[in-house]
Parts: sequence; C-alpha cells; structure tokens
Amino acid sequence: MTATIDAETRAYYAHYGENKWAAARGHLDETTRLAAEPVIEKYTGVLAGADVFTKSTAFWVMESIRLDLGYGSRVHA
Amino acid sequence: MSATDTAALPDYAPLPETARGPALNEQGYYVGRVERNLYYVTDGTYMCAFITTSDGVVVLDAPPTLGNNIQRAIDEIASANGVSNKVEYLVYSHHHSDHVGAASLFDRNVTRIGHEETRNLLLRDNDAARPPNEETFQDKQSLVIGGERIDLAFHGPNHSPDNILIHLPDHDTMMLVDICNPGWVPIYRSNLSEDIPGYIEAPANALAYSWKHFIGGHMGRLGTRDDLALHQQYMADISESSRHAIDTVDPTPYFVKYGENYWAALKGYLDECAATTAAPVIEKYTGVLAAADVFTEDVSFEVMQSVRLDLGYGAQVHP
Repeated sequence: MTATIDAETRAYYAHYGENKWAAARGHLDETTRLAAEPVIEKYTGVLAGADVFTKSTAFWVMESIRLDLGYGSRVHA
Repeated sequence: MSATDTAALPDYAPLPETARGPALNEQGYYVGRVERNLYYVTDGTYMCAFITTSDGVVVLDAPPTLGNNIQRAIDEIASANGVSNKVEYLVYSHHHSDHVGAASLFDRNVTRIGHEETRNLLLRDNDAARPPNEETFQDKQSLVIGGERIDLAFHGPNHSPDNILIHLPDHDTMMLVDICNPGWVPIYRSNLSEDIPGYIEAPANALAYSWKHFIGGHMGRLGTRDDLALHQQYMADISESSRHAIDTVDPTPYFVKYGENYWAALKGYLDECAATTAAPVIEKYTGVLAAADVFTEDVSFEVMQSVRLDLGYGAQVHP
C-alpha cells in the first residue's frame, strides 16, 4: 500500500516538475477522492447530501489526520 | 492514478522566476546563511532554520521532509566554522506535524520551547514524533541563548490556534510559518488555515516589527518585506473580489434546479461565488505568484466564507 502511494505521489511530482503546488494538488485531490468514495457509497440514501459534500468533508478530515495527528508522516532518512 | 493518466492532468502556467530557490545538494537539501550565525535549510518545499551559539545550536522547527538533513546541515556549517553542532534548543512555530514532525530526532534532553497552546495540542495529539514543548509562554517571551536574542510573540489564532511570530532582531529576521510562501500563492484554502481573519491579519503583525529577511516555512528561498506585502495585496484583492461576488451572484437558479436538496443548491451557488471571486485575481497574479492558477479558487472559497460568516457581509434578515 505504501509503495503504491509512493509511486502515485511520485507520478504527480514527475509530471509537474518544479510546479510543486500543482503536484500537491493532483496528489491530495486523488487521495481525497479515494477517501470519500466508499463513504459516499455507504451513505447515499442514508444521509441527504452525501454525494454533494462528503468529498470536501473528507479533505478536511484527511488534512487533520495528517497535520494534527501526524498520520503518514515520514521522516527523511 | 496510473502513469498513463498523467496525460489527463490539467496544464498550468509556467512559474515566474521569483518562485525558484537555490539548487539542492545530492542529499536533497540546501543550507544558506541568513545573517551572521543564523542559517536556513530547505528541501525546496519545506524550510526551517538554526542558530549556532556558544550555548549550542537552536533549531527553529523540524519538518519531517528535511528530517536527518537538518542535522547534516548543522554539521556542515559547524564544521566549516569550528563551532558546536550539538542541538540544545528547539523552538516550535506551531504544532502541525509537517513543520515539527522530526522533533523526536533530537536528544530528549533538548529544551523545547513554544506557545502554551502548542503544548496543549501536542498533548492532545499524542504523537511520539512530536514531544510536547515543556517551556511555554502566553503572549510574549524574549529568549537570550548564547548571547543571541529570539523574541517569540502570539497575536492570536491565525493559520492554527497556536502559530507564533519568531523575531530575531539581531539577525534582521522574521520567521512566520504557513502564512506567506515567498513567490507562491497559499496552498488549498489559505494554506489550510483555521482562522481566516487571523490569517489575513498576520502579515501586518509581522510587518510591524523591524526586519529584512523572512522565513516562511515553505518553498526554496528566503523572503523579504516585499514578498509579505505582495501576499497581503493578493489576499486583499481576494477579499474585495469576494464581496463583489456575494453582491452579484444569483443563487435563485440553483435553488430552482435542486428544489428540496438544499445542500446541492448551496454547493452550486457557493462554488460559483468562489469562481467569480477568483477569476480577476487569477488574471492579475498569473506570472506574478506561482500557482495562482492552481489554488486561487480554493483560497477564494475560504475567504468568501469568512467574509460571509465571520464578518457578516451580505447577510439578509428575513423581513
């Protein structure tokens, strides 16, 4: 899984080169989409608007898990 | 995403020359002198700093992407100058993992200093990579370490609830992390900031101090007062444009189309407000600030929401 994430992250940075914000956008948007997808599927028909706003909620939760909790942080060797 | 999908990724404007920093070495970092015994270290995306003193080295932030390269940079400078490479103090700008997630690399006896809310949040987050700072302050603290002065100040929540100003008056330097990325626009929603009025006010707080060099915590080069002023103007333009969008975008078609699905109508309306806010700002800043075409719509959304919710602009009271 980690290797997959690494490879996918590298693909964005390879594509955009020195435009690091473009690469970060591609990578984090895709991560958000993957986080939201199963939740949208589970809650559509259960909670109204699940297909409207779950992606933006997933983005902020993911950022908190990354920045507040430190999940997925890797220290340069 | 697979490698073949990269063809479907959007194209963006070329970077302005002002976005570029110095070339990195083989280990993936660059260390440069800010002034006298104050140095900055960057990997091109993240930046921290250190001061070599007669009482040991003071490190200002420890981003994990730099990780062990921080000590390598210190070793390189200490060896060249014949001074101690032993880190004795670590100052946290704020609690976020991407700026202090390498804090545990340093000896556990290092003195860790930061805002009292940084300690509270690190205790809450309970991450072994970020030992909570034992030394705290509320509004201001002036440190003198090995004869070098470091003034810490908290002007209220901004990017995070605990983000502080680190002023080095004897080095003509201001360190304020995650507000202005010199040469670049903020990432996503105002650098993922929690308090937008505080985020917008932060550059003015920093500019009220005397300094020449700016350490923003991101990207490859040091900043200047002009960089902070340009960032301030960019944010002011977004604030002004968002008021125009709130005044002119008509929500009616969205509520007619979506009927009782209020969230769908609201999303359509607010997304159009953000796009309307961003359009003239993207045009003005493309070629001036890197990635203006990548993230201005996101920044605009968050600023427009703050103008609406924090400032109450455009609120209409039911008759």
